[in-house]
Amino acid sequence: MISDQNAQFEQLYLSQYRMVNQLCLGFMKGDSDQAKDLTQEVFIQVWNNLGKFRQDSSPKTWIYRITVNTCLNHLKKEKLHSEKLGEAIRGQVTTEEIKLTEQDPVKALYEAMAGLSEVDRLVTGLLLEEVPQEEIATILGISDGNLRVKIHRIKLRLKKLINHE
Amino acid sequence: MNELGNILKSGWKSSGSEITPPPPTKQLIAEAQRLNRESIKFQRDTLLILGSTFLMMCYFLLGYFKFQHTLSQIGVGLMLGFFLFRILLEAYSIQKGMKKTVDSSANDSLDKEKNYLSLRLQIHSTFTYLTLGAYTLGFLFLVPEFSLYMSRFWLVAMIASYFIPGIILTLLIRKNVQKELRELRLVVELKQKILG
Repeated sequence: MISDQNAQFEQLYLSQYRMVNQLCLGFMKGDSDQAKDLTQEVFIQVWNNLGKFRQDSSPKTWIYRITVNTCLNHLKKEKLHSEKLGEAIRGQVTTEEIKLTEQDPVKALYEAMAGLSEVDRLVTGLLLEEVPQEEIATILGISDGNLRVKIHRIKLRLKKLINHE
Repeated sequence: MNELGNILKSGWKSSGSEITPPPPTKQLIAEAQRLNRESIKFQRDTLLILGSTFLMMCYFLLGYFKFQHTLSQIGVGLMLGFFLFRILLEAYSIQKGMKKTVDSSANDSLDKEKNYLSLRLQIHSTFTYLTLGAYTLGFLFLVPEFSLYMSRFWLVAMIASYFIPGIILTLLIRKNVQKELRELRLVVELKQKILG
């Protein structure tokens, strides 16, 4: 029984590690050390909840949900340790225009992600992973319409990264 | 937008290929098992400490002092009854905490977290202050009988030794309540961010 669980976990771990790590990297604005720690946290949760996995969704969707929730939990813990609680959450998004100056696509990506709020970074990561919108709405627990509005806002926000002049 | 979309997609693709292979599974499983053991041990120890304190109180208040006055017996009942009530609440809260999930949707998880924190807040504020108040009242009910067997000096010393830690405890409870209130606000704020 335990060896079955280990084998199932190993299979999920090896097949989904890249995807989880990449979502965590996007969430952490490219900080690879923090992203690795967060990825480890995600897989610890995967291990802890493996017995509860009911196969009513694909393992990938199940892991996306755990990843999003673990990122949000991490954010909560981080804010709790921060002196400026609450303000820190609101203070993440600047209203001034950000110009994309990086030529390196990876750095440019994280520069762009840094201009978004944490939840928007998660949505952007899922979109870039090519997760269908209906699935993203299910992962977040919001309606399709609500997600479309969110994506529209993210696009508007990201548009400011390009200097049209 | 297409230009930006392409930049992001190309960055995402490149960053994916730069990801190093995962650390060994065994190491991760061992860490998960260690954290689980620690969490279970912490919960068990909390209940063990509270349970032992309750048994010690039973020994002193029921067996050792053998109070004769009705008022004292009401006092003992109040002290033990409310302490036991608080232990049961803690056990209930631990059991609820174990039911928190990370594999449901973000909105659902935050909802469950919100309900759990509201429960903790209620336990740590209303019920803890109620227990503390009932416990103090019970203690004061014992004073008349104690005064029959103690000098004034020792009686005052005993009352002082109850109230000084009591005040410190109240301040600690207040600090804890404020921390949980901040946590609850953060969860509500996160929920708004998900829905907004």
